[in-house]
Amino acid sequence: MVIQRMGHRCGRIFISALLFSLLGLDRICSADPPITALAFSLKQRQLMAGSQKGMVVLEWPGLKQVRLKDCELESIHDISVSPDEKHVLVAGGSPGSSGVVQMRSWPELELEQSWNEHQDVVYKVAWRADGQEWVSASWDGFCKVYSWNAKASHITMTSHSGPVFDATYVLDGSVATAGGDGTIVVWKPGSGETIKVLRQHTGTVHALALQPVREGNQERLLASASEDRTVRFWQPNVGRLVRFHRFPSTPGSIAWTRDGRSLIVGCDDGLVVQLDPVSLTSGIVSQRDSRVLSIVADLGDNLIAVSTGSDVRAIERPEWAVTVLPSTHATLAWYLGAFRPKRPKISCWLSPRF
Amino acid sequence: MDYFTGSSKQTMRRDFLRIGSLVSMGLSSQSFLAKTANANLPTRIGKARSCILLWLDGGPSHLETFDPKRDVPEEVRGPFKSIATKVPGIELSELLPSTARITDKLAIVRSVTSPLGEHGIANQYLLTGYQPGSPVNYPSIGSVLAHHRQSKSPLPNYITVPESRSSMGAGFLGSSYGPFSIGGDPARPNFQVRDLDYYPGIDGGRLSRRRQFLQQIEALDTDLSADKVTLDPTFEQAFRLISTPEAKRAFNLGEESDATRGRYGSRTFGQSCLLARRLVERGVGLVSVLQTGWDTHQNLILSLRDGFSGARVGVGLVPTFDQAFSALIEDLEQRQLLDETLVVAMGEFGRTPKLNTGGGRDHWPRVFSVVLAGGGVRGGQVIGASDRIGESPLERPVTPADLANTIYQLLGIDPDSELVTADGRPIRINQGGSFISEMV
Amino acid sequence: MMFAVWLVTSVLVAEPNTLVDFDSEIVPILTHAGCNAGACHGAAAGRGGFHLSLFGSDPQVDYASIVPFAEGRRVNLVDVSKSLILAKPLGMLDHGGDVVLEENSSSVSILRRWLEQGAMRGPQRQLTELRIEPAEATFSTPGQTMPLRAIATFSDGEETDVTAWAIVHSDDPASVEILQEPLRVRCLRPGQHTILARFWNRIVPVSIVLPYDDRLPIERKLETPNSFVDSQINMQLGKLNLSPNETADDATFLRRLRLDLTGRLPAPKELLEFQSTTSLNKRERMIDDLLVSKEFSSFWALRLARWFQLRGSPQEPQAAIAYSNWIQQSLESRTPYSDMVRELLTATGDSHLVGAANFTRTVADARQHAELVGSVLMGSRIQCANCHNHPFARWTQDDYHGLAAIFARFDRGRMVSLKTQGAVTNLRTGESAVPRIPGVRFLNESEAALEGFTNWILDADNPHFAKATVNRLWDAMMGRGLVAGVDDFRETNPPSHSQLLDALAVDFIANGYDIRRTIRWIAMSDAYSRRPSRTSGKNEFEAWYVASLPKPLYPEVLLDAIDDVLELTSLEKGESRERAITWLDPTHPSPDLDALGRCSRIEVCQSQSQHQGLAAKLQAINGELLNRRIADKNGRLQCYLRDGMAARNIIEDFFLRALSKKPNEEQIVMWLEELGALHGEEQKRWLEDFVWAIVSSEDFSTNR
Repeated sequence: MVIQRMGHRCGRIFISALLFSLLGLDRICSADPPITALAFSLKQRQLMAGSQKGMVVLEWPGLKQVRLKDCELESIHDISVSPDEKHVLVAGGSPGSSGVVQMRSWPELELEQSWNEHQDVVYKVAWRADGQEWVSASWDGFCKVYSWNAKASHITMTSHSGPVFDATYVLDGSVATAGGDGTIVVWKPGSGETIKVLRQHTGTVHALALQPVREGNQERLLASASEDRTVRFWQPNVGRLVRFHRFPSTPGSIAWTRDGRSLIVGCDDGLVVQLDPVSLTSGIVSQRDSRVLSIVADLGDNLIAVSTGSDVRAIERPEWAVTVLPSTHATLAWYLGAFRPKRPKISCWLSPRF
Repeated sequence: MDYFTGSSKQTMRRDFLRIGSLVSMGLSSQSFLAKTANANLPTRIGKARSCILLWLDGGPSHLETFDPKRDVPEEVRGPFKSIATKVPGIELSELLPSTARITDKLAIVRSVTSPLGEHGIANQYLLTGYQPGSPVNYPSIGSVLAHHRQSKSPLPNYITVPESRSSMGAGFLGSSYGPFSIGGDPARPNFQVRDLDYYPGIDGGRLSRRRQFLQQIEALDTDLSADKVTLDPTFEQAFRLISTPEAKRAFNLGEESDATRGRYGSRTFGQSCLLARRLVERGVGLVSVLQTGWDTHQNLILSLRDGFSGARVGVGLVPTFDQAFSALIEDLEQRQLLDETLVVAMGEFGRTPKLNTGGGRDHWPRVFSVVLAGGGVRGGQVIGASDRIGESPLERPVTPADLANTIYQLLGIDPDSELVTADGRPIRINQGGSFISEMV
Repeated sequence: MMFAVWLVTSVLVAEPNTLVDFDSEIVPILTHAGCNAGACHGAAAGRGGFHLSLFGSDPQVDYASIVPFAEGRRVNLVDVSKSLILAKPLGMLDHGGDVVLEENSSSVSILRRWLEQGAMRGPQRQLTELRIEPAEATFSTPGQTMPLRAIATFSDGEETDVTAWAIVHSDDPASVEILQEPLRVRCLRPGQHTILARFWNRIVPVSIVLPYDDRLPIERKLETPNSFVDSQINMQLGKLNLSPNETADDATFLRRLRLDLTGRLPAPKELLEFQSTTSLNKRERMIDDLLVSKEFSSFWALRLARWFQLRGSPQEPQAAIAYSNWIQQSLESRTPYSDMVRELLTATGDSHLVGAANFTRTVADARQHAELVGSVLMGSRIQCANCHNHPFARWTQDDYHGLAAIFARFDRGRMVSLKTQGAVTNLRTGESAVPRIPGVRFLNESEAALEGFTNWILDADNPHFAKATVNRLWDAMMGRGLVAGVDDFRETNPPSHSQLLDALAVDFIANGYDIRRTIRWIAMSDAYSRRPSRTSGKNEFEAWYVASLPKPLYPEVLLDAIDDVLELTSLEKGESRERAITWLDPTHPSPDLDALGRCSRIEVCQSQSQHQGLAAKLQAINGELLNRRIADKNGRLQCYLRDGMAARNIIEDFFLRALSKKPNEEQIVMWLEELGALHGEEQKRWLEDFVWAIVSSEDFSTNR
């Protein structure tokens, strides 16, 4: 009776609160950890988001929670879908003690193999284009190369003198890694041999992204974002800095649009900007006041997903209208799966990070 | 790690971190440990009669001298390689080939650490064992030695070649315990110490009379009779030195053979080291030899190896040091002086693990290297270590206070004994440092 | 029933009290634990990849490092205990700094609560006041302890006892000891000591006073003060229970006054006249006469040249000449010091003609210009703020680079001018520094930066300029500044007599920035005219002016004195000799001055010459400096001998001339007995040795 009088919604809140306190979960839920990994599965049209709470799979376009998975990792810093979309690599670990790379099946998310070789968290794990090899990059300063049916990594690269924050395969099977020492090292995973060291950044390099294939067989630029408040474009195998652009605050995450024509840059002051790599003109996509953590860009060139703090946002162009999935509601949804936000329809598209 | 050094490391770290509130409990346990540590010292302590301090002014890069690194990125390794030495397992920079031959005589401390990264204050920390900042003006190690020990010869007990730095002074002990700077350049053919010979017309008799008159004048305002007046000790020392010809000959490098002079190298630093050897041979307590120029913010290849652009044979800082240092050690050994002469080579800090944009390195006090030899030091060893890229101490951190404590004990001076300032304040010769037991 | 359930659940779910404030609660915890010290994470390069602002001076940087850095690795919001920010200092994970926090401490419970609340940084409140109780602690016996409390007032009005996180530091642990739990201070030695209490970003000095036993042999009541100077000095002496020395005799006083005001020894005739005059205010008249003399202007021009670090260049001697002339003329014409400073800061034009423009040329670039201005006009060593904010000194990086930016447009060639553009890079932001009046505000684009700064410095309300200037004057006259270290004003180095410093500054400003006026106040005081101390070496009571302090002579003054004694004066010779004190440019060639340790002005001049060691004594004994002059055929001694002056008269003359002392009959007899029957060459040599001893004595080369 009381429930009816106070409304459907309030009733749910009571029950949630009651269940919370009974389950002793209120302490945990009083704060939301930031979402530190985002990945998109093309086939399933689903978005995966990882944080200290574990991994959640959300539906596209409804942002409805499909499932949540406790990966038994203290933190998750990267989720990477294999090219054939049969597997997912989950990377993270326990800060200060160990770094873990997990191979899970997709979409079941069953754990198949786990490598615990790093001494601190793994920030990035990158697949080679043919799916036969992958590379991990860690806070401990080392990068390791793995392949199928190997119990352990077969090469450890030691060329960084600080934490390594990002890794990506560039051309000819070589890998570019970058991190706290401000350098981008291009090296061969087969031998561990260094090909080039790109030194022009004057601060920690936070993110790397290789331009997707475009028509006309043009060369593909490597973009990097750094603490020195620049985004730079390189020819990675030649080692040449082509051009760069300055930002008012540190750009922390970058992603190319599917057509390779624009780079979406998210900054620490909450600015999300679309940058043209040739003319260096930029346009503001969105502006909030919290730090942008991850960006994944869209398949149809219409949308990107951005996580800032514990929110995930889908931003759509050409109007760049923003729709937001508010975090508290997501939290409740996380644990109870019953609550539906009373808001305008939310849609977001996703595309594999490349 | 044994009980004493383990816990003293703990207390040391805490003292590092805590500002102000030095827990009195911690302090007294520190001195307890030091005293007990003294009691357990083997008899090799106190063997050194003299000390030669090679002061590498400016902060020498540890990565290009005594702590080179191998498997590291190029910007850490620097432009030079490392070479094996006479002692298996110890490597030095390729710029130190002669030193590599005598590494069995050296104790290399690779984990010296200090919080001070500015020349003036860092100099003071290394040269006195005390961090600056209090109202007290601390005396340098040489001045403490001069104060502690009566000089048997008319030569001053504390000499700097060719000149001193302000932190090498006597602080509150008064300028009579300050160093005697010889001035000039020992490498020059006409080198002599100024004003040692009588001015024309003056002789020994007049000298004594002048001294006597000085006493009488100083006695005027006091109630003392003239013969009871103590003159400025520096004046006394000057009078003594002038009237003792054998003492003056100590400064005459012409008495050394050309072969010997050549072995040390013809540059100022080399000849200064030779002069230092002559002086300790004649009983001088501490000779400090200055090599300037180690503040290499630019172009390591030019300053550390080449010396000038286009040099075919390197005559920069490190080769010059290498030649003179190895010559000094070998010479002392040949003359059977090495056991009683402590040789210390140090600067005020190290340099940044990563090269800067000018091809040089900047100040880095967090970890650096100091080398000791002779005077009872057990050679052929490395004490402590820095981490993979030479950025922080990895194990067995050593502070400049520890270094001072060790030097004092090797010279037979009790670091816990007290000096008194002019206003009656007792100051321990060394505070907060502990003896590096691995040294002997 | 459901209602009851709702009540119960609301209570269970209710958040515990208020939100923890990051800036004012978490940062002080880190500071207290030593996390952000320069030896640890507060270092410019951080430690182990974790960088905090030095001593918590920048909570924004600290928050960014702790919470969002590296995808939030340091903060675990799901299981708070796993956060690195807790696990490492508690020793649960390997920590280079070992264990710095205890599990059951209030620090840890606050940190935990903050993490549980989401590790947020809320609306920032400021610390408006930090108060220590007591602000001045007076003890009565050594070894006593007294508790201390620290009270912080915040901008939201809250007043909290923050004693648990205050850091109290004693520079001199042998005199004042700090004890913890509970916080107490113990005074071990008499005197007035300063300890520093710090919380968050404020630092407050606390005065610890323990009066001396009245153990000086002469019991004297403090005389009625004849000016505000003496009343302040005497009040402090009274507080510390110290008896000062009596007034110095006329001869000592005149020698001191002459050396301080005119840089030369009193001539024997002058000395004898002064001693024999019986008028009551003869000292006052002498002071006034000397203050208006040309000699005063000459000598104080040298002092100012040292302050301004005047240094010529061999290629352009005219520049140094113009600068020297300008200083000299400004002093002679009694130009207010404020006007001189205005010219120094803003003069442009041909530096060979416009003397004041050379101030700008003294320095190589804008940063050095800022440092020189800081040192001379503000009494502050601002250089540390080049690389980082130092929360002890008030200066921030923005202040340093902002001050440099004000001087960035100067063209420092022969024609000193202001270019249209000029900037320095602020190392903190990586971009051009915005011109800023240090510690106050940024200058906006419409204001001419240089003029804005100049007006601020010379404004009557400016807190630095007058105090820095009168402190320099006090230091020059008394041998020790009211703030020890004329360019070392900082909160952690408070003045020994702060009310006196304020009063002198106010008087200076109100009376046209007239340096002669302030010098007169000082010279007229009892404190200035005390007898010197009998003990040698550093005197424990020097800060209280119990006795006059010995001051070493400038090399220029010493050389002039040597020449005055050993050579004939200009009157006697009929030709004028250039006095060394008129060579304001230290590059003026003079081997004698170099031998005496002349200051090169490349850096700030030390007040003590380095030139006191064995090498100096050897030079006195065997070197050219004295011996040549003594033996000079046209020197004083040789002339006296040629004129047939009696030995007794020679002895008396040299005593008076060099030491301003008249030996009594007994002493003369003693000397003559020693001379005995020597005559001719022998007597000459005896007298040479005598004269040598006179000018080598410490009494000669010191201004007591």
